[in-house]
Parts: sequence; structure tokens; C-alpha cells
Amino acid sequence: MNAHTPRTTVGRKSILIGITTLEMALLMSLLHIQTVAAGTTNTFSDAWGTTEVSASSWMGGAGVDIYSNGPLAPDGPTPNTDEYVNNVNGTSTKSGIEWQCVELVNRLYITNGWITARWPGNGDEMYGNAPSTLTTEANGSITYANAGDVIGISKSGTVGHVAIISSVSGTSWTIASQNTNSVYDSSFGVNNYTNGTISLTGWAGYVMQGLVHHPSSSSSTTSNVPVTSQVDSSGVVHVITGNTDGNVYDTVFAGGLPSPITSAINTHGNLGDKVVSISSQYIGGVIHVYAATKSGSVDDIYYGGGVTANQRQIYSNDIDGDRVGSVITTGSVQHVLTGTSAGNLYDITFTGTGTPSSPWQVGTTLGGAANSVSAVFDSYGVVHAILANNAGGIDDVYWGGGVTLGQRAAWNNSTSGDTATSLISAGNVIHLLIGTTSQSIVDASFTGNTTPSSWSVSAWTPGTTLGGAIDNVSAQLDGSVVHVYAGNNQGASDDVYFGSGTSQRSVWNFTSAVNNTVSSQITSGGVQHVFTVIPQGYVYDTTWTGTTGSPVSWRIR
Amino acid sequence: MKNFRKKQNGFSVVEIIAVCAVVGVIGLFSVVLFRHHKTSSNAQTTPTTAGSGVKPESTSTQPAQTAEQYLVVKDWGMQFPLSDVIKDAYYSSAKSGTGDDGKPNTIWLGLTSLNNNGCDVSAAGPTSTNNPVGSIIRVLPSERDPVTNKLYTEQNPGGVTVGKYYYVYSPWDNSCASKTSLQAVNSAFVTSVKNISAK
Repeated sequence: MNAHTPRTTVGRKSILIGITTLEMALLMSLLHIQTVAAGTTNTFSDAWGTTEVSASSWMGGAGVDIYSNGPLAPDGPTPNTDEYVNNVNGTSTKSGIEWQCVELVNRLYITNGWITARWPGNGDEMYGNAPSTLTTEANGSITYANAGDVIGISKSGTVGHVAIISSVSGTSWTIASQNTNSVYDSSFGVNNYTNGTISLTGWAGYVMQGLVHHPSSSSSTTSNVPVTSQVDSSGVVHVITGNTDGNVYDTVFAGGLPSPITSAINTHGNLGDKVVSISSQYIGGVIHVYAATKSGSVDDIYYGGGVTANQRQIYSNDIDGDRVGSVITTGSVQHVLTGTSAGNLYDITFTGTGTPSSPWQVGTTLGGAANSVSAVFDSYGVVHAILANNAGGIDDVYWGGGVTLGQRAAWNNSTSGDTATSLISAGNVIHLLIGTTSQSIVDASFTGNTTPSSWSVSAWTPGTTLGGAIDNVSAQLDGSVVHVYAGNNQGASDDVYFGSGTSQRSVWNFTSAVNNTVSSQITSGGVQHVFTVIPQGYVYDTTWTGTTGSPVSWRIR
Repeated sequence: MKNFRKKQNGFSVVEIIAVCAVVGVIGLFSVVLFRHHKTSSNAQTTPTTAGSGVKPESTSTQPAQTAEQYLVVKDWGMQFPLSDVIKDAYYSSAKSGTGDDGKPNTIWLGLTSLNNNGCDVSAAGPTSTNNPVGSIIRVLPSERDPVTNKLYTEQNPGGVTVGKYYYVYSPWDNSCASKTSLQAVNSAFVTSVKNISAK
């Protein structure tokens, strides 16, 4: 027996070695299969339902998952199963057969609140079936394209195809598709916008029908999505945006850090035209949103606090170019300040949901058309309405507290494109915080009282070379530190702060989106929130504390 | 006992079959040569219009019964014959994709006689109100349909490879004419494209 033992041992080793090799071979084989099958250029080799592209990895994080339709693509397995997705109002809506090309479009549009009901049709029918809330441009007449727009494709004898523009670089596009072997195709573009014809490499036999633009897709490079925000008495944060389709949405989250996607509430009916400027107040438990439209009207939309939600027009001049700001004065009087394209400024007042006053013209022929309007109410009872005009001037229109209505040019750089906000720091120091096209932040300040002749303005530049022309500014006072949040036209939001030293830093950057808008709040614990909205309508919340906390960004809508 | 085979005169069956085969091959070769000669002759004697991108081809003054008409696809430097059924054919490359050489990979075909029936692609190619009668696809034999991922040569059989490209006719669903008429038109185009040649 002993003589046999070594042989047996050797034999076991041999067997063990053999099994291990076999296992290794199988393992390597499996690994090999996985390596080959996975990937966005070989989706038909992946199992049906495999996530090829995650929602967060395209459309600047505002996409939806893109799935493989499996080896039986393009028909897919039978029987078919339908996918459902919750729309912005929480209703479950069918997005279509899993995982067809039209299902991806429906799921993206429903998820983003761009449609509220299923967009019907095969791939080659989607263009013709576009909901009336979406804009279409036929191939040959295309004037603009943005990520999220849909391209309709037909081919005789087939159901055609539909794809989504995932990125735009000049006149070159990349499209993303579900139910194609390759998710991405970069062969698309427009030969030029004069001809407006989609040109592409490949796709023999296919006809490009045209584009369907999503609601926030705009032809103007200066277009943006106006945003304002409030924190109510329960600590609930409201981020309110005005859309190009005339709707106003309130994205809410209950303090702290938001989950990546929160609910958005359509606050009212449609305003009838693109929202171009927005402001808000939280007073008496009620949120009031003041929204100016491209058609030259200003509406007061109010909700919460036990009142019946409503909207009403409080001003109209039927001329595009109105900009609104607001302030609350003694007695909870709401002042809605409307700057016009003619450089005039009007004050409409009301208390609660009471009847609005007739417009009172407080500013006359200011330095130019209004770019932005903000206001402060100082400790002397004086209202300062600050209007940035398109001639590079910052106008101060003032009244109240015994001070006679007046106006003055508080600051001027003679360069169009300035935007401004305002706040009051300790000692009744009124800060006009200006963002310029030369990438700088200017603090023009004066100490308020009831003697206008003493309001000597002192200006300095706490922020410079911010990486792009400043499109939009917002500001907060955190203790003794003034924070100015600037969105520039290169896709970044910067925090410029002063009051305890002076510094600046980029807190958020999304370089593929320009012309962003910003709003801000400070919530419990001194958490700063900068809400950045990119032109496609996605809302990001960047949070941190103090001047050194690490910023964290979340897409909240 | 031995079996003796009686010597016979004449040809065996195998020999007859061999002779027939040789004669058949020679005959077939002759026919091919003759047809080739005839085609070349027609191509040389029938005037074709080099024309612009959208160009109905004509035979100039040549009587139809004595000379074949061709539609010249200038973009490709190719031409294909037109039978009587499609003698008023024209093409457009508007809105076409492009191939590896930057040239259109699809031409949309129309018949001027059907232009008023919702099939006028002469100006802008296919539109929401005008469909082509059909199209000719020109792809590399290795090229795949981006949606189905199938080779065009398998998905659209019945074409012909000339040089490095595969050409195939693809009919288009439309209501330009009666179903019977369109079948005849499509059949004519299929035949024509099989005879596509360099211009």
C-alpha cells in the first residue's frame, strides 16, 4: 500500500492539474465571450435587455438607459412586452415595446417631461406624428439642432428608424439609437444651415425625413432657461424654471441633498409663449412666481400655503424683451418690477393674492433695454430696483422711506451684455453684483440711507477671467461672506466670494452646455445650493458649505 | 466458360454525350460573344446625355427600335439601359447618404410621366409629399445596413457588382400608378440595373 501511495498522489495531482486547466479554459472562454459581446458597437450580440449605455453617461447625465434588443434584433423576442415609465406628474405612461428604437425616444421624452402621453408610430412615422408641443423641421429646411432632438428616418419596405441626437458640435452630430447594432453613429451632420439638409455617411437607401425638436431646444445661441428658487418654511427647496413652451415647472426636494431625480410640478396652465424671465417670492406660506413671456406679458402664479393655485396676468405690453425682478416691502407687499425693451421700469404691487395695482412707471428711458432686474428693500425703507441695461449700464431706481422717486446710473462699462443681482450686507451696504461679458464679476456698492446724494458707489473686481462671458449671476450672504455665483457661456458656474478674504473657484462645469442660468439658496447648516439650468432644460444642484467645502453636483431634473 | 463480347460498330453513349457537351459549350460561348459584341456596339452608337445630377436620359434622334436608351448617372460615372416602360426615367441624388468615396450611395428614381402623381423627386429628392418610384443603392459588398446589421448584398439580393461596388434596385412603396403598372416599372428597373455599366 505504501508503495502505491506516491503514485496515487501523483495521479491526483495530475487530475487536479487537468481540471484546473479545463476550468481556466472555460473561464477564459467565458471572459472572451463577454469581452467580445459587450459594447456599444455590437449590441445584437448581447443578451436582450443588456444595458448598453447608462442614463447618466449621455445627454449630460439627462439621458435614459439604452438597452440591447438582443440577437433577435431588430424584431426582438416574442411575445413583445411593453415598457412603462413615470412621467413628470407621476403617471405611468407606456413608452413602447422593449427595446425598439421608438421606445427609447418615448422613454427619454416622457422622463424629461417633454411629452406626457405616448408618441405613437413606427420609426418612419414618428416625424409625422410629432406632438403639437414639439417643433419639426423637414430635411432641407433645418435651421438648428440640439442634443435630445429626434431624427426621423424612412426606408421603403421597412418601418424606418428613429434616433436621438446625443451631441452637437457645430454642424456635426452624433446620434444614439436603440435597436441598432451600434448605439452611436457620428456620420450625421448638416451640410450647412443655409441648405439645411442632413448629410451623412452610409445609410444607403434611407431618407432622412427631418428633425423633431424637444421643448427646450432652441435656435438661438443666447437662449436660456430662466430659473428662480425658494426655500419654504418646512425646509422644502423649490427650483422653478420657465420653459420655452410656456410652462413653469417647480422641482422640489425636502432639504438636505436631493436624490438625483426629483419630481417636477407643472405649476399651472400654459402661459402661451416662451418664458423669458422669472422671479419669485415666498410670503405667507405661498410661493409666488412672476414670469415674463416673449409675448410681453407678466403673470403671477401662486400655490401652496392653503391657497388655491392660480395664475393671473398682472402686466402686459405685448412687446418681447420684458425682464422681471421682485421684492417684499413692509406689510408683506409684493413688488413685481418689470424692465422693458424700451428701458422703462414698472412696479406692480399687491398683498397676498389680492388685486394687483396698475403698473406704476418708476424708471423712464434708462440706459437701454433691460437685460436683468433685481431689487432690495433696505433698513431705511427704501426700495432700490437694479436694472442692467444693454448699453453696459447698471441703473438704480429708488423710492420709499421718505425718498422721492429717482433714478441714476450707478455703474457703467459701456459694454452690452452685463447682468446684475443685488443684496444687502451688514451696515446697510447695498451690493450691485455685476457679471460682464469680459468674464469678470464687479461689486459696485454703496451704503444706503435716506440721502441719495450720499450714495457714493465704490466698485471693485473680486472675480476675473472666469472662463467665459457671464450670462447669469445669483448671490447669497453667508454670514459676513458674499458669494456671487456666475454662470458663464462656456458651461461653468463659478463661486466668487469676498468678505472674509477674496477668492474664486469653479464649482460646476458642463462644457458641452453654454448659456446656463443660475439661482441659489442657503439651507439649514449653511449648505449652499447653486442651481444651474442648461439650455436643454436640465437642472443641476451643486452643494457645499463655506468657502472650502467640496462641491457636489446632482441633476435634479 | 468465357463470355465473349461481340465487337460493335458506331459511337458509344459516352462518346455522344461528350460531343454534345463540346458543341454546347462552343455554342454558348458564341452566344455570349455575340451578345457582348451587340451591347458594345449599341453603347458606342447610342448617344447618351452626360447631363446634370437630375437628368432624364434621351436617345437623341435615334429611333428607339434601333438603339437602346441609357440613363447616365453622372455622380457614379455609370449608365444603365432604359426599356420602353421606363424610357422617361430620371434620377436625383438629393438627400442621399454618401459612400466611402464621398459620392451619393443612393439615387432616387422617377418617371416624368408620374411626376404629377406624387412622385416628383426631380427638385428635392424624396419629401413628405413626393416619393420616388424606386432607388438604386450603391454600396461596398462588405457594407451593412445600419439598422438591421445585415449585408446589403443579402438584404437586397438580385443586384450586380461592377468594379468595387454592388448596385441593386430597390422599389419604393408609393401610389404613383396602378399596382400592375408599378410592377412593370419595377421589373424593368431591376433588369436595367443588372446591366449597369461604366459610362
